[in-house]
Amino acid sequence: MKAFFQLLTANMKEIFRDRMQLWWFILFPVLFVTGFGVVYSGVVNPAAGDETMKFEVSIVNEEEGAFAAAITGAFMEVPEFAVQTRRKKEALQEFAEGKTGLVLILPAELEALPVAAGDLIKENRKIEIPVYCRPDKMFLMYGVNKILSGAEKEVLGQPSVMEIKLNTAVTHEDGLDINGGNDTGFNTIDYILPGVLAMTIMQLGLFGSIRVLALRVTRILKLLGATPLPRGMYLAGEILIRVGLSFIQALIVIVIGHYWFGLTLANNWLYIAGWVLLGTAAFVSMGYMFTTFAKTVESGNAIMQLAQLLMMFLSGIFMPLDFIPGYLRAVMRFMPLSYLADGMRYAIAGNPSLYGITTDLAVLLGLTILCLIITVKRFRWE
Amino acid sequence: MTVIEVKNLTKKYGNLKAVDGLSLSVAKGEIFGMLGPNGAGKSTTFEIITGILRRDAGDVKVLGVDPEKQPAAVKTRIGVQLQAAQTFSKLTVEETLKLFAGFYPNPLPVEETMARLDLLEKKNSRVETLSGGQRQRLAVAIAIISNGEIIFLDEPTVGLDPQARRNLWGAILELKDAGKTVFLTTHFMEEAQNLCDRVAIIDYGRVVALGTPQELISAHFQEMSLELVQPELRNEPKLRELTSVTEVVQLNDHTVLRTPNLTATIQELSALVNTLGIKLDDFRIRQANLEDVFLKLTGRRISQ
Repeated sequence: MKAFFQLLTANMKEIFRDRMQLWWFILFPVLFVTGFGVVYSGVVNPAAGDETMKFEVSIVNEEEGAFAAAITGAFMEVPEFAVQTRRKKEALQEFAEGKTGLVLILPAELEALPVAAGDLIKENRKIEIPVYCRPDKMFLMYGVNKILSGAEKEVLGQPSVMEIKLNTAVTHEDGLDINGGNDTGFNTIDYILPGVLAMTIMQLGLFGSIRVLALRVTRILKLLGATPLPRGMYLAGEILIRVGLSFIQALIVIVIGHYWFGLTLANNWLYIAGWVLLGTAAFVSMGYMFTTFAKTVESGNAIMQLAQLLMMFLSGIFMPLDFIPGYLRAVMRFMPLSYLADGMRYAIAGNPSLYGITTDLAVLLGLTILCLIITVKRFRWE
Repeated sequence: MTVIEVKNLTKKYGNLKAVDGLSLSVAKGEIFGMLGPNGAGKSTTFEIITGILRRDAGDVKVLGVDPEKQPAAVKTRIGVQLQAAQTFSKLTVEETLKLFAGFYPNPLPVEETMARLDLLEKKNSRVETLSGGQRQRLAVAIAIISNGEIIFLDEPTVGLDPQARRNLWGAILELKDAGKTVFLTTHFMEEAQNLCDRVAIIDYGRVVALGTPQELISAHFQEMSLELVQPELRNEPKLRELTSVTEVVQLNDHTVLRTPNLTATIQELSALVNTLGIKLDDFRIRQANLEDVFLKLTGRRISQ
């Protein structure tokens, strides 16, 4: 057992001291996720039928007063804002469903402001302005801040007594029956990011297994075979490291996705980890299976590239389902990555499954077993 | 006491018989060398004895155990250096040796092993930064750190300069002094002759001669060798007419005359060059060596 851990440590050092490995398995997914997050969070929401680059802003006036009307007017003057006034419950429901990215609530006590301002300052008290803003629309907060402080200065001519209370999501405290927004299917990020995660798991599985080819060519495997170390132990260590790296990747992708781009988290970490594990198992064994058909690192690379390109572009991971033409949906059914991406979207964001979760599980498990059988039959230590 | 016993070992790759009925035995505490050209079947034999490869036929016993049937029992008691095998490139020398030490029940201390192979000043260097010679020494260090009863070295001094080669021979002789048995392969005649207690000459997967280097030489040669390097004397038919010469061997870059009577041959040779009208200005005299034995037995040279 001691030897096993030493080997594991040695292997880890090999990987973490190799900049190429770090780049492909850690930084690349980060860049990918950030890139996709930025691109897709800027996309005009197709569900809202919006053609122009306008951002939906809902304003809730709790009391129809002059001050609130002035602020609403200021918002309407901004050409990029499509302002509508709503009742609070309505506005929050729409926000929860993703129909608006920003809700501004102007409380009733605002109307007393010109008179009460002096008292508030004396008592060092502030009026809370609740704002609901989706994480991917945070840039709108700049405008909100500017308009609010501008209005305040104009009307009061003195320092701020208003304080923005920012929310990124509607909670149950808001008195709504919300299901986390899962069943609406509107959120592009929720579709894309789990797919990207599935893709990075596939890449780790396929390209990670090339290492075994390199070790065979450099005869390290043979040298290990001459030591008392059981041969399988080396492979077990390799696989364990792939699983570890997969978890790290998943954690990075999900954390960035969730906190920067508003990726919905519909399930607990353990459930998500289970899917990550299954996906890793499927693609690591697929990678090892491919290595048994290659004699050199170069030919191994070529096989992996081909497999990865096919799956990357024919599994529909980069496009929200609405954009995918019918023929591609048919091709998707033959790509193992489609099923992992589908499962991931369900597991992470709670998106409805395209093929059914049982099918996803069955395909991935079946793939793992099939690849393992072929690998065990064909694997050569040298 | 016999520690390695090989009988009628056979290994085929397709139609090619890499090892063809090879037999040898190695006694405890000796340095045993397999000498032969590349492709003679040395490495295949080596890998079968160390339990890496399976054999097609024959018997192999290492320390009384069949390495194919009980690989673990053999591998914990031997140390192995493989030809052209690399190690993890991102690990340092010290980390590499610690790793391999961890595979064996009773390894040598890492520090001591590095000292024996002149690797101390490189202990914190990554393997990828080492020179060819340093890597070779590290590979031997991996074999030695096992503290195995038999140390197997496959072409241990390939790629080393003469000085580094002699240093490594020193380290191998230390193993013998420590009571270890050393089994090595080489295609350097000099290495076999200077280092090994006994040598098996291998060709086409068979043992063509076996004994101490001196036994092998005196069994095949009573004569001295006189080497002519002058191009004018290349393929000169009159050399064969010299009465004191028993054999003329024409090699690529020189001609070898074998003679039991050196004085007579030199006299005859002077007379011959006079009649040919050339000056004899360069020749070497030496005793026969294992290379000559190999040449005599197989008609080919070991190394080119």
